Amino acid sequence: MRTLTQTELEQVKKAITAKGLSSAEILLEIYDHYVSHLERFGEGDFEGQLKELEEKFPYSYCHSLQAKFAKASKKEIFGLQWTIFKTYFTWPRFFATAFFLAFMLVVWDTIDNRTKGLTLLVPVVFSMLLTGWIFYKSYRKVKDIKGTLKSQTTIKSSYLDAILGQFSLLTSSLNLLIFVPKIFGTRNFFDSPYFLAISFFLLFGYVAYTLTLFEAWKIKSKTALI
Amino acid sequence: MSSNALLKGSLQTIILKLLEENEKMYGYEITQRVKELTAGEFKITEGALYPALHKLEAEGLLSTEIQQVDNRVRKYYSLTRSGKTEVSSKLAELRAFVENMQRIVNPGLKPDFNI
Repeated sequence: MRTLTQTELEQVKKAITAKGLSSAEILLEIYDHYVSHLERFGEGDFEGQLKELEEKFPYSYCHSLQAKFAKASKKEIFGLQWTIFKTYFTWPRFFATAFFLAFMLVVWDTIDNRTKGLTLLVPVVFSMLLTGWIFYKSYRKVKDIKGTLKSQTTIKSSYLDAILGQFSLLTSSLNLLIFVPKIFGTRNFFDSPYFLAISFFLLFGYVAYTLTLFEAWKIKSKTALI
Repeated sequence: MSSNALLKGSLQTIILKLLEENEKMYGYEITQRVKELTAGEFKITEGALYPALHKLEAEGLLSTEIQQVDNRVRKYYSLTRSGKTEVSSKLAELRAFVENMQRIVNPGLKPDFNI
């Protein structure tokens, strides 16, 4: 076991960055694999062993690994959100939430529709701020990997993409609420009786979605690059 | 069929078992440990190892930890609570499979395995 020279490390970095990967998690794992393997061989074997590693980690394999990891990250974040949502509802909490929703429904009926529309923006704005915060925290964690590899490709955490994707779901659904009635020629949708029900359920959905996303991030941020 | 093709189906069980014995391990360490335990007979390919690790992580059976080691960052894997439970069921599954295979391949022999 030896420490690789600076020139050897540069060669390793060059080989890895040439693959054009963007996932920080995949890059750090492949880089560590290369260095751990090469450290076990003498300087004379370096070129041959690096070539062998390049055959084990071809471009296509690395990109497929990255794509699968991105998919698994999305599944993991969504799975965490769902588990948080399910485990939250113990019987006392279920009754407390049901009571709160009944109270909200009464309040919701008394306020005008424009205020309801604005209230819907509260969880969306909160999740926008949360996404900004997550982006900043992830940027700080990935900074070292970026500095080490100096890749031309933008390096970011795969989990960050998964979370940003979740946020776009919220904004897209809000856009749908605003634009779909226009497509069908409903001019004063805010005054429609359906708006009461739709906006009420959307508010509950948005709040639950944002809070579970926040909790999922809190869990993953302890160990992942977000 | 090479032993590596047979190994592919048991990869998740091997990973879980190794992590049960070692508190935390990183990808390269797992490949080397398997090689060492089987005197080089079993070689876990990188092509199969990392997707398996990522799948187990996404399923909540493994948790990860990033640590700074010699000027680079290393991703360690360890078992979660559900991962620890899964090890026993995966091992029981494997044990039953080996016993059944033994019955087919060698009907006269009484299987005696300690996995």
